[in-house]
Amino acid sequence: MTGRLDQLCFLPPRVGTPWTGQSCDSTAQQITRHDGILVEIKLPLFWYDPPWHHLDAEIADVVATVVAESGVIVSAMRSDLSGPNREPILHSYHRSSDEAASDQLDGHEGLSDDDTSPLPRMVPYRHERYGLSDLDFDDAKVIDLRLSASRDESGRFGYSPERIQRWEATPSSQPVAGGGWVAAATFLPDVESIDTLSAKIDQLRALSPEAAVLVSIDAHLLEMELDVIAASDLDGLIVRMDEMNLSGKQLALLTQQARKLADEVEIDLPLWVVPGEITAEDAAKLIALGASAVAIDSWGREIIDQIMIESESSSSGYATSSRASQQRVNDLVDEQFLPKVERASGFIQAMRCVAPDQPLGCLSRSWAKALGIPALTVARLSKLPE
Amino acid sequence: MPSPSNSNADQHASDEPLHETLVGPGSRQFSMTTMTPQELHRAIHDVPVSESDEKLTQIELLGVKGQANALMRLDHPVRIHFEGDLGDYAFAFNSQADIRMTGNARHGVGEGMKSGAIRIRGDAGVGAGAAMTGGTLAVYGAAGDRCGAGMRGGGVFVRGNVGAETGVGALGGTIVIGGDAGENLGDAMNNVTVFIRGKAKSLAAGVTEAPLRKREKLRLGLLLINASIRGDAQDFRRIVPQAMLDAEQSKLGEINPNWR
Repeated sequence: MTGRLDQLCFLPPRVGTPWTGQSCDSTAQQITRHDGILVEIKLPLFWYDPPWHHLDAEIADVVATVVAESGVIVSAMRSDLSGPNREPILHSYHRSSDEAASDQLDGHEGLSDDDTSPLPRMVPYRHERYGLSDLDFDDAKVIDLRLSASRDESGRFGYSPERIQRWEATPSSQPVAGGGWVAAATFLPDVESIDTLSAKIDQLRALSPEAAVLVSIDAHLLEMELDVIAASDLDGLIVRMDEMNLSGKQLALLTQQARKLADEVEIDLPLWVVPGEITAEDAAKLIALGASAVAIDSWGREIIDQIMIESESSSSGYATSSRASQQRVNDLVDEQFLPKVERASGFIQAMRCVAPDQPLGCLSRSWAKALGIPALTVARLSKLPE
Repeated sequence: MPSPSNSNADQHASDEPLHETLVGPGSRQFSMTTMTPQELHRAIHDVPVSESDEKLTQIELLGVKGQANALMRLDHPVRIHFEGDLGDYAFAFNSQADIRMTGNARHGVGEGMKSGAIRIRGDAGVGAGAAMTGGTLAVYGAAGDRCGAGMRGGGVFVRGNVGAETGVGALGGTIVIGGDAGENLGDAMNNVTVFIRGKAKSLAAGVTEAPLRKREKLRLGLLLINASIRGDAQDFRRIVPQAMLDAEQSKLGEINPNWR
């Protein structure tokens, strides 16, 4: 796949840079909550809005678990992944020290130093809280307070019958809302106004004492609303850029601008971006441009689409309790998803060996001018077409 | 207004580190001024459950002074009573506990409540009972805007007036309003019945007034008794989504059990 940011290149360390392995073997970072508690993030990649309702709940749970085992933070509520009277594996699974050790031997760095920690998970806290349970807060890494109204795949601000039925699980003879669409709310009904958002953030910190509370907002609202949101003592910001059909240059510029705005609120405020379709290299380049973590929804979506295609073509589909189905999910993630995670991790780690002010160069003069990134000499000499 | 409880609270504030007092058989006192929220939460859950379903173990809270995020995620069958105001998001995501407070609660009281009861002899802020899935939230004063928003079950009872957009986005449950309602009552509401004694400034598109039939009068009468709200069921009018009313009528009076 062609990357949206192919005009940017990773630069090697300058000649004469001292030989060191320091910081080159880790992608870990920490978020400091406003109450001082540290939240460890092993891998700066997350799956922001998986369409779990497209899969059977148990298969969705297997996908979520296998992806989370790679260190990617997965967004899911219990109701996204569980049938009646069933505990989702993602929410209950704790890695044993044996598994962690085995990962270390296999060279899987992401979770290698872990003992029995829960899988990395984020809780989507939508305005309406359909499908949300208090148990979702337990062991979460991130609470994602979504300030933007939810737009479904059809483009509506609303929730499809399939999605709402998954969350609320009524008998099929008595579907929620008569089996129709349910409108999405435009603001949190129990917050008086955006000026008092800090009270809601405090509450979420209290409900989830070990999770960072990040606020999601659409990129086009960033400049308008950031001052007000910043006053609410958030632990970080998630900027949605996936609904804007941005070109590669626009994506890069917007990420830089978002970093600048976030730094005006607080230097190094965690800035997570949701860019839409990207490659592994793009993910690392967005980090170089100022993002703290990057959503990889397009990679996860490929897995879900593949399972849907295979389900339709096979007579039995994916049998929920079948070991063969679970093994197939494992194989799909191993073949299609993990190589991208590994490649993104590699570039992110490599950037730590380069001077932080110059991890990228540009093949295009117009990109270089717009982003303030040095144009590579080869581009200047040969006047490469853009 | 001075009361024995208030003077106890003052005494506790000066008597640190006394956290818990056994007042008598089946009755405890805890102080919110000397215990952290975590300590209080743990202490409440450690209280032995009464063997009788009829009589819950009583806990009196002292030092209630507008604390925010108070008593969230309780999941223990005890009766907690106190005097004093609380801050935002009190009793969020509670189960089983039976809470009786005399004072005002602020925004988001009873958010996501799953079961049990909350009785507030005072007013509530915006979003009272938002996203609750079960239990009973009774407010004996007035409630702010968006009361019962996004609720999926349970019952909200407000003796006084409610603000605008009451019941917005609710997918299940019952809302009883003893006074008047603000604008846009029942916006984007599904499978929810609102009973109102006073007037609504406006009904949202897609909701309508429906006849209060005998079975609803009986049901409402029981709900009022359960919420300890005085009143005659026949003084109330019934507001439901038009689709729900259409379904009722198409079944010649037989109500879909999901919409009861």
